[in-house]
Order: sequence, then C-alpha cells, then structure tokens
Amino acid sequence: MSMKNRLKVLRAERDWSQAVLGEKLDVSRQTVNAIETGRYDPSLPLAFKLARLFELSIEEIFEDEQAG
Amino acid sequence: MTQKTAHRRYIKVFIPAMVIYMISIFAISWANIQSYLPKYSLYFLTIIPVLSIFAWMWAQWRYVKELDEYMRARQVEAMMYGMMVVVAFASGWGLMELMTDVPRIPIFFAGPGFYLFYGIIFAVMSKRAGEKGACL
Repeated sequence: MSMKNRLKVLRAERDWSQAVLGEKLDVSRQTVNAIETGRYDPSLPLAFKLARLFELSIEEIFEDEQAG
Repeated sequence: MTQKTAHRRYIKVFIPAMVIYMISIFAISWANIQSYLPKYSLYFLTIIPVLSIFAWMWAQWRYVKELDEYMRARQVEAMMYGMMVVVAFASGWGLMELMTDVPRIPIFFAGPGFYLFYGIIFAVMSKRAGEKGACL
C-alpha cells in the first residue's frame, strides 16, 4: 500500500514541472510522477531530500494512512 | 549523476561491446562452417564474444546502480520477471530433453531469450505506468 502525499500540490505552488523537480532532487521525471501518483514510495533519504527542498517535515508531505 | 549521463556512459560501452560480439560470432561461425581454423583455435576465439558480453553486462550493472531508486527498482523487477520466464522454461524444457525426444534447444539462446522477455516485460510495465522508457 502506498502513502498519500502532497507532492503535486507543493510542486504546483512553486510552478515547477515534474522534470524541474526531478532535476532538483537528482531523479528522473518518471520517479517524480510515480511518487506523485502513489505508485512508488520514496526511500527515507529521498523523502528527507524532498522535505529539505520544500522546507517542510516529512509528515507534512507524506500522510501515514495507518497512523491512529 | 543524471539519468542521461548514466545512459550515455552505458551506451559508450554497449555499442563497442556489441559490435565486437556480433563480428566475433559471425567470424567464428564462418570459420567453423568453412573449417578454416583448427577446432582448438575456435575454443580460444570464443573468449572474444565472452569478454564482450562481460563488458556489456558490467556496463549494464553500472548503469542500473547509477539510476535513481525508482528507475532501478523497475529495471530490477523487469529483469527478475525475464529471469523467471527463462529459468522456468529452461528447467521445464531441459527436463523434457532428458526424458523425452523433444528437439534440443542450444543453451546459447538462454541469453537472447532473457533479454527478449526482459525487454517485452519492461515495455509492458512502462505502458501500464504510462511512461516512456527503455530497457537496456
């Protein structure tokens, strides 16, 4: 089961394309797309990279649906 | 490292390795058919395509390591499916070869068979994910 995330919204707020975000994260556009659409959950290092880039905590980007 | 750089590094090894492989395979096959060289020299000459395959697979391994985590996961998944198909088929057919008189399939075709299925499976995975992408 994949986690929900706010990546698409955060990216749109900054007017970044998937390719631009991919460049900033040093990953492919396909990877950004896969994370946004919930087909892939990023590793912890990539999640931290995202959090640093958006100046948010990981929990503010990703939602743990199993949390109580 | 960007995906493009990783791909360029892979292609720089892949193309020369495949050219050497193709030329050596045709040359060895021709020499064998023509009885142009003594048999023992053919054994030594087969080292050339084997080394080119090693160079190619090393480049492939390096490429997969240099991909980002999602792209690497997809490549590995497609490779695993390709391997499952080839190993399952080879095991089943090999057993039939031992027990029945089914036609013998040269082991040479295991490699191309793996890459054929790996390529098809990767293409299907990419299509299902709505992505463009190339296998190795």
